[in-house]
Amino acid sequence: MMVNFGIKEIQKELKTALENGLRQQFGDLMGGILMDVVNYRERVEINSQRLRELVENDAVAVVGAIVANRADGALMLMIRSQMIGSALLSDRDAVVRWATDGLNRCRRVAGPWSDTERQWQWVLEDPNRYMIYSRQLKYFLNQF
Amino acid sequence: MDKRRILMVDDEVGFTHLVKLNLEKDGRYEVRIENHGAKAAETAREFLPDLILLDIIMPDKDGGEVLAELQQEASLRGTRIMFLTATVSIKGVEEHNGTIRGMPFIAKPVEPKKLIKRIEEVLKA
Repeated sequence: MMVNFGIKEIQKELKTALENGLRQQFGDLMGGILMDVVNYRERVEINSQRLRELVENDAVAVVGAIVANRADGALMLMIRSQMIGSALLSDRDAVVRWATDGLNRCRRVAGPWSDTERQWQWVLEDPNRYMIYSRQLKYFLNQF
Repeated sequence: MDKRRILMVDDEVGFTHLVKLNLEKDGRYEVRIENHGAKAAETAREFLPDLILLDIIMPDKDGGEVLAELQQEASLRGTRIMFLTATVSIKGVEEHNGTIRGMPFIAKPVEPKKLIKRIEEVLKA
């Protein structure tokens, strides 16, 4: 019997395959960072007006959290999300800004984020490489 | 008339000098620069500014931490604080009527005229 997968099922399968494959191909460090791209904002197209609006709206939320002097995993997630969105928009300055902030901040946040130092460093080592990988991956994901 | 004292806390050295030049050219302001967030409270205590222009993302201490420190200072009770940041777009700030979490904001890059207009609004508020 043929199984008629909906788009969500196909996306889920693709994500699982990619997540496993990314870690195998690129190792834990780079695979982990790219997995976050896989999970970023389903169906939002790179360079789209919608993506730009999302990134701008999220920036206000991040700034609000910083002004409130919050330092927790939720803020780290928002910063990572901003870095991904900026990469998909090819905004190199913003990628560097968020990666630098993520690196500085991860050392001060308790829990698993304290182990992500090397990830932010990897982005900062070559922001263009990170942007290209992220954009290619998202473009590929959006085909399904 | 006494000049208004403005302290600018931002790690971007070139940007802070440019803003200082532009504000002081206006004639109404005396501007002090502090490029280290961690030293902001100390410099503010010494300078006693009317207004602090505060960056959000700085390597040693972010704007939220600096704000919390400044709010503890009894000598700075009357000091206004405005965030000046590239983190949020001009459009993003405008959509929130220049205020985020109850604090006045202005987005970089900013034209000197717009900055002065906003400074005057915040000082009069």
